[in-house]
Amino acid sequence: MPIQGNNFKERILSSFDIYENHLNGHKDSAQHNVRVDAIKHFESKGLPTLKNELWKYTNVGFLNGLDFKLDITETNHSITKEDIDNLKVEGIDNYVVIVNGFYNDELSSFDTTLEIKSMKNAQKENKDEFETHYNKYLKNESNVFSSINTALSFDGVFIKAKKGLVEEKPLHIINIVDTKSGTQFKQARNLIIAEDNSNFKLYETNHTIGENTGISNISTEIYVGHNTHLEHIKFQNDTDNGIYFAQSEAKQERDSNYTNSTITINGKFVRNDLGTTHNGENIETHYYGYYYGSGRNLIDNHTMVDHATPHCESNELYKGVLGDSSIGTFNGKILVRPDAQKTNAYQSSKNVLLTDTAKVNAKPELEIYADDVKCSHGSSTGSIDKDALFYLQARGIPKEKAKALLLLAYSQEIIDKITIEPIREYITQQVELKFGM
Amino acid sequence: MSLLKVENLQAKIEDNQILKGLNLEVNPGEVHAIMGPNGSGKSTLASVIAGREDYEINGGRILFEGEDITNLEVHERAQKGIFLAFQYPVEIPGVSNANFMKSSVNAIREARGEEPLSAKDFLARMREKSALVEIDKSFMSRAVNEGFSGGEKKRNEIFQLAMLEPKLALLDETDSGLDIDALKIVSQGVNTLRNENNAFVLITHYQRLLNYIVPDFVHVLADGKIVKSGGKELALELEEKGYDWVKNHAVEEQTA
Repeated sequence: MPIQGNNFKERILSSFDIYENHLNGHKDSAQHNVRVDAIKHFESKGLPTLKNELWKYTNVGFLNGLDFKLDITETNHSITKEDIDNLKVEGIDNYVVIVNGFYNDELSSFDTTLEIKSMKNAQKENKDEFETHYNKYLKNESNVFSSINTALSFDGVFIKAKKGLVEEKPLHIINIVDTKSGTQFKQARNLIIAEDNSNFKLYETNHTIGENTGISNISTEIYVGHNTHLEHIKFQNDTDNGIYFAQSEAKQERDSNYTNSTITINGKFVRNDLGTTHNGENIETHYYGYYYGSGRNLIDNHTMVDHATPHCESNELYKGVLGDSSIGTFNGKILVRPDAQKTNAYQSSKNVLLTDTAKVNAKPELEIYADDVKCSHGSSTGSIDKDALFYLQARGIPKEKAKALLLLAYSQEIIDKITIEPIREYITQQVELKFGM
Repeated sequence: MSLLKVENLQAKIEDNQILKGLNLEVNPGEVHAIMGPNGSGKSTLASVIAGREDYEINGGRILFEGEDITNLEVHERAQKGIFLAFQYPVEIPGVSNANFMKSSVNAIREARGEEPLSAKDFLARMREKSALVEIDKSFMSRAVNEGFSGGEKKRNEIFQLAMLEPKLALLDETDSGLDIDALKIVSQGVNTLRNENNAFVLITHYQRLLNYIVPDFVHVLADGKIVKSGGKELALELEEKGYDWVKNHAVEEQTA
């Protein structure tokens, strides 16, 4: 019988005990100390409640009611090459597959100048990079899901572009949770290092395969070196069995450009925490987001741009469409620290509600401690444009189709920011399908 | 059988009664002009015939080819062959003119049990009809009306009219905001399209448009009713004497 109440916390803590019992006397390694710190943090905080400002719109209490397994070692799974074929995007030939939190070499396929390997191997083979970057950017202290990941994730993917490397071919990161044998809680930990003057593109998707609930908790740390261009696209179109927590934290060096597009069109529960910290001048950060909620989907996007240095720019646009009884949340924070003079920071969030039962929480936040900056934020929520709907209908287009056309057009502003053509087209098609076109 | 028959039509928006028993009959091959002062209900009449849901019809009915369409949805009326050229064409960011017209043409074809137009035929039709209103090729990939000048928007309405070849076209103040060159282009477009099988209802405040598109009938709308009908010479008389003449005239008739 599943334990009620504080079930989730106890499950996590007991998994940690199991892990420690398997260590056979390696308890004083640096890695182990990091894990102990993280689990202690989680133990003291527990799951966030609605009283926590960062979780005030999103209740994660349901995790207590789930009877899941958290394995500390790689377990058997049923994912096949055919499954991967269904998840690939035509025209994107490089992909890495993570199954149940573990890098899967057999299912992955790539021919690239990027260095790609499992986190397990990278920990042994890329000691310097690990020392410099691992667990340096993730905000364990403010997000217990990062703490849980740090304590109890054992693999994931390591991606590195060495100095000056320009890789034209995008890399698709496919995250899968296999729930055919029961409810799962799976964690992957990724580390992405873009050394100075490199330029490449990542495309990340997540998938729950199986009849049972799959909880993914994915933490990704990204280092964006001097004068580096990194485009990072996340497309989330999971089944209604998918519960997804993702924290992605970047550190950007001078003259770098990090562009993230996060597009969510399905999933039972999605929480994206996206953050970047500036560490140099002339940095650009672009965040684009689109979310479409239907049924009882909950989609929560939290973003944070930390302007710690002067002469940098951030630009953020999130658009949401909420139908049925779905809930969408956007909480975007711009922090301009005292040294960050001449900052340009823009943020805009727009939402369309399709029904009376759908809900949106929009919370833009500006915190400015420098005096010579240009910052703006705006947020709007409305319904579908009645004049435009009438116009389309007056040309013979049935109401539902007309709505779909308008909603697709609304999403297009975000999708069009993607510079990888096959992915832009693929996502457009998926959004069209979602709208029944 | 008349193409359009409006019988004792009464329509209101919120508590504001705008149409107060309006009658109008339009036959194939005819061009009607409806003139009247601001606020007389001209645009409401066009919107109500097109089926705009903001208005409540609280009396009378609308027949199209003998069928009562009073309760049909907007797109169903369009599919039957009613076209409204908007006074203020709506900007639709993100939807290209080509995509818009393709959706429109094919929705109408589908309703009539016809196969969608092939890409080749569709393009050929776009090319032919855009030439009619002197629209540039680049316009097709631009978002519907976004950033268009007033004249471009109105030409786009006539272009759509040409693409859809409706039986009944309602032109709601298509002349407003047009310079003389654009007015000529728009008028030439309409004159090319008019034939014995279709009909036009021109809603206009000014007589100017009627120099270019010569109507068979002119009606004067005041306070929600047609108060005077006549031939094309009525428009000139109106221009000369002003709308007060008709209003007074209408009051005289009512009190007589």
